[in-house]
Amino acid sequence: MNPRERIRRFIVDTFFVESFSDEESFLRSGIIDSLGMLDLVAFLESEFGIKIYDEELVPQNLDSLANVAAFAERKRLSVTAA
Amino acid sequence: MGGRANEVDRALPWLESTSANGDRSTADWSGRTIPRPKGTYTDRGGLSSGEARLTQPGALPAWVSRLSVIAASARTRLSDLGTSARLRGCASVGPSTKALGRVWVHGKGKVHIADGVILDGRAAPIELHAHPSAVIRIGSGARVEGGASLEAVSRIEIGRGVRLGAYCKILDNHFHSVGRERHRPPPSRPIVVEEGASVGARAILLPGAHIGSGAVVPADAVISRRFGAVMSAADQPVAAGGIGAVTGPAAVRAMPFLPGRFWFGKLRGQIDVMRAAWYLRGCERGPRVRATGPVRVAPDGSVRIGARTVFVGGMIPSRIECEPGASIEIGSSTVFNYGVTLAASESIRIGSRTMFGSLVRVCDRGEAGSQPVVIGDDVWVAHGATIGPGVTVGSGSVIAAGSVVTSDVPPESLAIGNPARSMSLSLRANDPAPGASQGGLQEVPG
Repeated sequence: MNPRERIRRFIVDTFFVESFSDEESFLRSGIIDSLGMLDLVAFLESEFGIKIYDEELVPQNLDSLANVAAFAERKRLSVTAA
Repeated sequence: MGGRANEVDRALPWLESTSANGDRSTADWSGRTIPRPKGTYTDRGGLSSGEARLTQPGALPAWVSRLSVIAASARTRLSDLGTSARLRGCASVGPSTKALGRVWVHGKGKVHIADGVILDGRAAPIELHAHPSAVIRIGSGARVEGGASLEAVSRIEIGRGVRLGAYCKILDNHFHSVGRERHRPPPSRPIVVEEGASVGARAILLPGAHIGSGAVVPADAVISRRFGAVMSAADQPVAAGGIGAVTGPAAVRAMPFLPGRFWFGKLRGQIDVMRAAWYLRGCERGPRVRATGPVRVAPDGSVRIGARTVFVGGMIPSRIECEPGASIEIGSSTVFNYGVTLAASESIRIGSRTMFGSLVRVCDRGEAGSQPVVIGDDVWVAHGATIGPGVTVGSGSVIAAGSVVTSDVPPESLAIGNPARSMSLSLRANDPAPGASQGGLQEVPG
């Protein structure tokens, strides 16, 4: 399963959403609230072995599946490069 | 008669006895014993000889046991009267429901309590607050511990046999917005706790929480969505791709202007100023500092409170503890809900227009000694949050309910979790259904 599908599965299982598009804003549609964001961040850290800093907790990184997947990929590459 | 005996049994568990052959039994009104099947009763330990006598009428003169029964009956009737008085604000109350200690029913909404509910407010008050048009329903056989607070602006449903732990907080509205318009209450989202679920002590159920049947919410947990296996499809806080339906009036309503109420409010304001002057007499106060309930103050150091600051009364008084040589400085127009603790060994500085929810704790002393705490202007610290030593909270930030803040929070951030992480204030769900909110500020969130 590719990273995007793993994240999608986590969101479906945790937040009980049936379907959402890759580009859909979690915050505008109300799929994930701020507490949920904390769960999502904890999942990304444990699943991909990355460390996410507080200043990276911004909508540009976390507000849609596409953004989250891209952000996780970027972080993972930076970890492997280091 | 049997029903009556059961009632006495519930009210007077010490009437229970153990017969010579070890069978559990209960004293009837006439002194007869009603055998209980084995293994159906929790053992409460040893019994005194006096208890055993009640089931053996021959052991003492008949008038003694009769007197005991009359006393038991009077006690039950008194307890029933107490329950009726405490729950007089409810729209409906089931027949064998018991309210013990302090149980407060507030607001103009409807509170329905089913049969066999126990509201045990002996250790701390229980608060059921239904705003106008809101509904709180508590199912049969539920048990609510002291310090529990339920506040509904739209709807809170507590299922059958649910247990609500001590000091748990259930509120279906945040009462303030996270964004710029802090005093605009957002729309409500109903809360459902399905049957047999258990909510741990000090847990917080936020708008949209839906606790599944039989689920166990741990102590200190903060829940704002589905938790456990939800049985009913209705009331799901999050539907596919959108926010669940907001039902009912859903918003805190502004009070209409009435001249009588205006002058009454003025008078009450004056009383609040005098109350603050009395309770905060050891502190340096600016003008118009108000207290709507008691405040416990130990001002051994220097305590300065800015103008128009308000201490809201409630189930537990707020406390200001300032050790010798330490200082507490509070800016103007700051609001403290009930049960806030400020404990300074060195220094706590709080800015202006900051809001503290109930049961917030700010302490500048930890294992590594004392380090000053600084909280900026326009900060909102929500219910049950803890701010630890050495922390600086930037202006305009929000500390989420139940968070434990151990490191600095930058300005305009949302600190959330235990230990709290700071995220961008823009990283939050947008308020649903714009326009649903219609009112002014009524109170600080729970």
